[in-house]
Amino acid sequence: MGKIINVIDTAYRATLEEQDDTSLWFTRACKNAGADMDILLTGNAVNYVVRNQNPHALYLGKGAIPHPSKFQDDLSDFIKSGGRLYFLNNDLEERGIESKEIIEGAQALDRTKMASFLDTYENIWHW
Amino acid sequence: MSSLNVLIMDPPYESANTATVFRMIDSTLRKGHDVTVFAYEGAAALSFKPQKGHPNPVKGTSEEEEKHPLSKDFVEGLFATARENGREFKWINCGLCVDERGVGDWVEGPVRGGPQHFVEAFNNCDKTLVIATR
Repeated sequence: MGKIINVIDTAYRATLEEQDDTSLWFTRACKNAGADMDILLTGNAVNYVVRNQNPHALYLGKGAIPHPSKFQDDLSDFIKSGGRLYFLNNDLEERGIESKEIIEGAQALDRTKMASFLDTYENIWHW
Repeated sequence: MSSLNVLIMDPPYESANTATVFRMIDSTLRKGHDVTVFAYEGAAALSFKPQKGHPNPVKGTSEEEEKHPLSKDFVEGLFATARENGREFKWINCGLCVDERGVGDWVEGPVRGGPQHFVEAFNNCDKTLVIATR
């Protein structure tokens, strides 16, 4: 059925409760099931490529969130598994994130190139 | 005849996405196409059988007068539409999403599955639509 690009625009969607980003998790699960998938991070989700994120465990009364997700590690694992990870450079710059702060293997995409970039995929899923 | 594969993510009563996707699926089935739904995250509660209507104290209506719509009834209705139109309709509830919410008691029709079943449906359908929570 052809190559899929997962455009992830909404970040930190129940990530504490899930100890995962549900769209990233789903992407990796589908890839493990044989789907040919890449990821494009846009909007607030570009923050996922920042290397030095260090979420701490959270305790609420007797409840705990002991293993908050480390998105940079999830995305590095995705790249190591053969997936390509892109981020919209304009959205990164708008947030004051410098390229030296991001994980290895993530590739910048300029907004002006987005249409032609998306045109190289047969399927676009927008999260 | 073609086939549509849809992922939905919103829980009941939180977003217009739910009613929209129900309408799209109903229309697709009536027009003679097959549909597979993957209910991910909060959408796993759409088919939860213990859902109950309630009165509306603001309007002063009783439960009977209010006839509050229930998403489980819409899911059952989609299966009925598929039967009436001789179409194949599958509703797959994400099993892990069901477990973490405790919503495993469903109306008749939905089955338990995982992302691999969504990929399988993707590989066998004509179009896939992902409708994510914002």
